[in-house]
Amino acid sequence: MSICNEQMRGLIGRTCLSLDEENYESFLKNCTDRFSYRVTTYSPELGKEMVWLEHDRQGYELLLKMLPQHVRLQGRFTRQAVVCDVAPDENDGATVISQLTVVHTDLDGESRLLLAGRYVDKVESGESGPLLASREVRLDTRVLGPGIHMPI
Amino acid sequence: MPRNAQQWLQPLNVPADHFINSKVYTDVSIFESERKKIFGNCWKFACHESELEKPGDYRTSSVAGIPVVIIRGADGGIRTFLNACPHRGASLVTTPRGNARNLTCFFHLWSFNHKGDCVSITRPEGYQEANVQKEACGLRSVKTAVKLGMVFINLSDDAEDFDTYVGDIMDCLEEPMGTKPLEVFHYHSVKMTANWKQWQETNMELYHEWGHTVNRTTSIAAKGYHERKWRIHPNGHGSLDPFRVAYENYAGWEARDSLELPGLTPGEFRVVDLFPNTSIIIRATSVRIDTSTPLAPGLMLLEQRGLGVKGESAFDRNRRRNEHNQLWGPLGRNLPEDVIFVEAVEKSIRHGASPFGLFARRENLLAQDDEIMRCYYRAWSDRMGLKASDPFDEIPAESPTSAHMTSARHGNGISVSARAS
Repeated sequence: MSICNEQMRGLIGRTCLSLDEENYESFLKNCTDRFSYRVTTYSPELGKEMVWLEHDRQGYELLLKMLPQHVRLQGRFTRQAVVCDVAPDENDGATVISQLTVVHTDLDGESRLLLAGRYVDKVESGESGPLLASREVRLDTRVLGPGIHMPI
Repeated sequence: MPRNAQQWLQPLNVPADHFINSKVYTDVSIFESERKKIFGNCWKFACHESELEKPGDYRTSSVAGIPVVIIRGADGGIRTFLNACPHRGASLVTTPRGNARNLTCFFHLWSFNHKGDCVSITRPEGYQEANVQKEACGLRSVKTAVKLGMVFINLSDDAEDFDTYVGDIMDCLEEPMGTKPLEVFHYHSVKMTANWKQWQETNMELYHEWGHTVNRTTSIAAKGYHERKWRIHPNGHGSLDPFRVAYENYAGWEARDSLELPGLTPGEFRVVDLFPNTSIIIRATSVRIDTSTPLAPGLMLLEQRGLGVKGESAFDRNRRRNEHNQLWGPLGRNLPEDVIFVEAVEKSIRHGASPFGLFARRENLLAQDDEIMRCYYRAWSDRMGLKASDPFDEIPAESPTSAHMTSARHGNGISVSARAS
């Protein structure tokens, strides 16, 4: 089934809302069975590309399962993803690039910019619409405060 | 039972080296004194030699706000200079890394070779009357030592040599870090609302591992955790006997039973803490090096590096990197929690709500013994000329604790110069 740009935008938006709500079951419904996830950035200090996190779907699900056990930065993380480019591929899928900012709002209600970067998403056509096959979170921000245990 | 305000401001009735006065973290005069008496005289980790691969490669760093540039010369030697032009003080290099045949200041184009000699002054005839000659305008050199690929620097011309400073405390790193060439594959920094010493404490005070889910399940619950001992050096350094971490105890993780660095057994953990602010931690397949920069009494910059084997296959590197990332890095399951712990302490000590920190665990130098902390603060006190428990002599003479004060410095019966039996 061919998917249009509007459906792509809808998919990226839904994934952000699910992650914001920490509703990971909902997020995973928007992903293929072979979903993979990477967080990458470039280090000017080393002159090298870096991978800061990498999981297949099983590893991603285990990461989510263990989240409640961990000490975490409290508050809410809000993702703003603006779809900037949709490059269709030969299989009715596409590579979707979105500009990303994540705002952290702490328990006192104070918000600050946590990070800036991009989502580079591979989208495949599923039976009922587009699905995420992979997500690379390409970070510009490399100083992330305490760090983050939640998926970005 | 709860204590009232007056009782709260009294330390527990323990020897004076068993607690730390929170003013050592918050007082501005102590912070300024540390810059001179500790960071002006101690060896500090600056970078790894793999960051300076070719002649002319340079890397910037800083020691308590003093900017430096480390450069590999045409002769292969690694040297360090203040990153300041002797002319007007502008930064000689303005990027964190690069390669330069000469270091040329971008302000007035004075130029310096890799040995720090001034080799060119722009329009030198203008200085003839004042008799300013390039031979007298060299860079300010900084003592530099390379040990197991790690580059250490010392701002003092009179510093004891590095090997004397660390003694044999780094011997346990020789096989894993000195057999195959290593390289840095991970670098990140954290600007932390905390005093710089608090981070070093986190890498020494292992009692806090109870707070980490990962450490509780893979380390504390593993066989032998409480059987290994600290080795402690009187300069404030320490290392811990090796131990096998049971990574497979954490849901979804596998045992680290391949790709170990040379000389290590599967899952083996080693740690070396160097006074004042460097930690080298090995978790079987990768090395983490921490160092910090004090920015203000309650503000510090942590730099964390991850190292693996240079020239290994992409497959091996990916596995090594992923195992590094499981715990460390800004998305790891361990390091961000430490930042949250440390910042939570700073929040209460900032305005004096918590006047003391307690380092009173005595377990015959076993893993969660606080002797490593006491030794660290004895070294700190020696250099600062202050008691870490009472830097401004404020504890009343009639305090129960004051009875311990005179015998506190080495009053716990444990030798700090060698492994206790």
